Order: sequence, then structure tokens, then C-alpha cells
Amino acid sequence: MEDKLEKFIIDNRNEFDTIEPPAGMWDKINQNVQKEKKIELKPRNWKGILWKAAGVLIIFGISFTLSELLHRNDGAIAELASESEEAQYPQLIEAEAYYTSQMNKQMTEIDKFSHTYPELKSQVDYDISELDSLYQELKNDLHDNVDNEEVVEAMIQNYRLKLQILEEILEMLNQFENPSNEKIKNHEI
Amino acid sequence: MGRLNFKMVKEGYTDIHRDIVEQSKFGNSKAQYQLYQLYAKAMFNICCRMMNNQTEAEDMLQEAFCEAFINLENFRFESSFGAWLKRIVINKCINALKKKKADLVYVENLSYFDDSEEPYDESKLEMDVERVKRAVDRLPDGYRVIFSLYLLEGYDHVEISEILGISESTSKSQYMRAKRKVKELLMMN
Repeated sequence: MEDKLEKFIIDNRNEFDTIEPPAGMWDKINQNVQKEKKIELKPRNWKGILWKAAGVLIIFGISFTLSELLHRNDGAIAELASESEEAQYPQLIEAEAYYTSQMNKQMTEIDKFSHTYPELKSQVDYDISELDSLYQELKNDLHDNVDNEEVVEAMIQNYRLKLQILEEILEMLNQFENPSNEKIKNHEI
Repeated sequence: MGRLNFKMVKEGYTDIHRDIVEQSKFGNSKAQYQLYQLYAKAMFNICCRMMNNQTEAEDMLQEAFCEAFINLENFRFESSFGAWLKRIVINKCINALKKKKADLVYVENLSYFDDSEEPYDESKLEMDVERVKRAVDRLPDGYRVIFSLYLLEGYDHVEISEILGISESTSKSQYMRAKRKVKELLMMN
């Protein structure tokens, strides 16, 4: 649906571009482009590098601070969590209270013999500290929140074992003091 | 068909210069000069038609080429280099015309054009390139821009509506009016 005018213009399209650009035009363009490039390059090299360096420093700073904050929070959260985890098991708290008081009693009794049997005392301390570190591991297991009933059971068992050791040692010491008691040979540490 | 062929030939033609464009991207001024030689004339004639003023057209050509070479790194061969450059040229011209407060959409009381029957006998239209060019130059800014963009630069109405920020139908009606005006001017002379 081209009309005569449209057809004429399209057919003769190239004839319409007749004006030549002025002679000095390229030089002006080239000068401007070169000038623009120099302006762009020089300050950019200087400032650009400085800005980049500053940027890198800022990023390092921010990430360091962030990770510090996060870790601090991690610690706080973990403490809260462990407290609350233990608080979830009242039998554990009861056990802790009961066995600690019992163990303290036994310990004071054993302490009475410590001057006569110093190597015994250190052996007891060692065993108890072994069990303490086991207890600590069990406590960490509570965080994992897997089979917690079993873990709590094991923790109580741990208390029981500690108390049992103390009781047996005390009994043994008492028998040392009273050799008439025959049971003595059945007890070894 | 004529429009389509014209466009395809142009774009096929420009892709041949891909390596020159690549070299120009690295700031090679010899390559940039080659690009200038290839496109300066066509672009300058666009500027002349758009601005209808040779001095302003020279300024536009200079600014457009400078901008193109400085921003060449942003050119990703998504279109031909010629099409990319042409858009820069046309945008420069349109912005300049807007600064001059030129009415890019010419809505004077010319509605009688639409109502009247074709007052001309098409067969009596005598056309030669110089007469058509003169007639186009005498169009008001808005008509001249749309007439040139559509018929001489090969943009369709969708593209023109994007370039000028007007609706497609406005572009169409403006073009129809502009074409009629050109014919009228041709009949008068």
C-alpha cells in the first residue's frame, strides 16, 4: 500500500544523503574522545585504587565485626540453650542435687584418710575427674537433641557411678582401719 | 517489501565491520577513524534532516560520535553498530529539539487534512529528489521528524513511539498528516 511519494523516496533513498560532513569534523571528534579518555583515566587510576582499597578494608572490617558479633551471640545462645536443655529434665536437676550432696559427704569422709593414703586420694580425684569429663560430653550430647532420654539416663548413671566409687573407697578405707572386716579383698579400685 | 529489504541490507552491511568495532572498543583511533568514515555521511544527513539547520547538525554529529566512542564498551553487538550509532544520533537530535522547545507532536488546527478528500491527482505529482527534500525541509519540526524517522530512517511506528515517547496511533496519524503536507508542498511548487 505504498503511495507514489513513499515509493519514490524508498526507491531513491540513497539520493537523499547528499550532504558531506564538514572537513575538520573527525579531528574535533578525535580530540574530544582523547581528552575524555585522559580525564577518565588519570583520576580514575588514583582515586579508583584508593576507593577500591578503602572498599576492601571496609568489607573486611564489617565481616570481621559481624563474625565477632555472631560468635558472641552463638556463645550466649548456646549457654541459654544448654541451661534450658537441662531445665527440661527435672529428674536431672534432682539427681544433680542429690548426688552432689551425697558425693560431698563421701568426699569429706575420704579426705580424712588423705594424709594416710595420699596416693589413694589422687587416684580418686583422677577417677572422678574422668567421670566429670564424661558427664560434660553427655551434656554436649543434649545439644544434639537426639535420644535425649537415653542421654539423661546416662548422665544420672554417671552420678550413680561416681557416688558408688566414693562409697566403695570409703568402705574400703574403713575396713583398712578395721581389719576384722573380711570384705576387704573384694574391693579394688 | 522495499522497506524491509532496505533494512536488511543495511544491517548485513554493518556486521562486516565487527572487527573494526572491536578494535575501536580498545581505543584504537585508526579503527575509530574507519568507523567515522563509514558512517559519518549517513549520520550527518540524519542530523541535517532532524535539525533542519546545518550548524546544529554539525554539533549533533560531533556529540553523537564522541558519545558513541566513549561508550563503545557498552555496545554488545545486540544490534548492528550502525543501528546503535543511529539511535545515539537520533536521541541527541531529539533532545536538542526538545531543549529548543520544538513541538515534536504538531497538533495545530490542521484537522481539515483528515476530512478532505485527496485534493491531488497522484499522477500529477512531479517528483525529483531535490524537490522532495525541499518540501520535507519546509515541514514543521514534528512532522519533519516523524516523516524522516519513518520513511528515510526506516523505523516503524512502534519504534518511533518509543523514540519520541508518544503513542503508536499518534505516530501513525502524525505521519499521515506529514505525508499529506509534503504532497501539498510538492503540488504548490
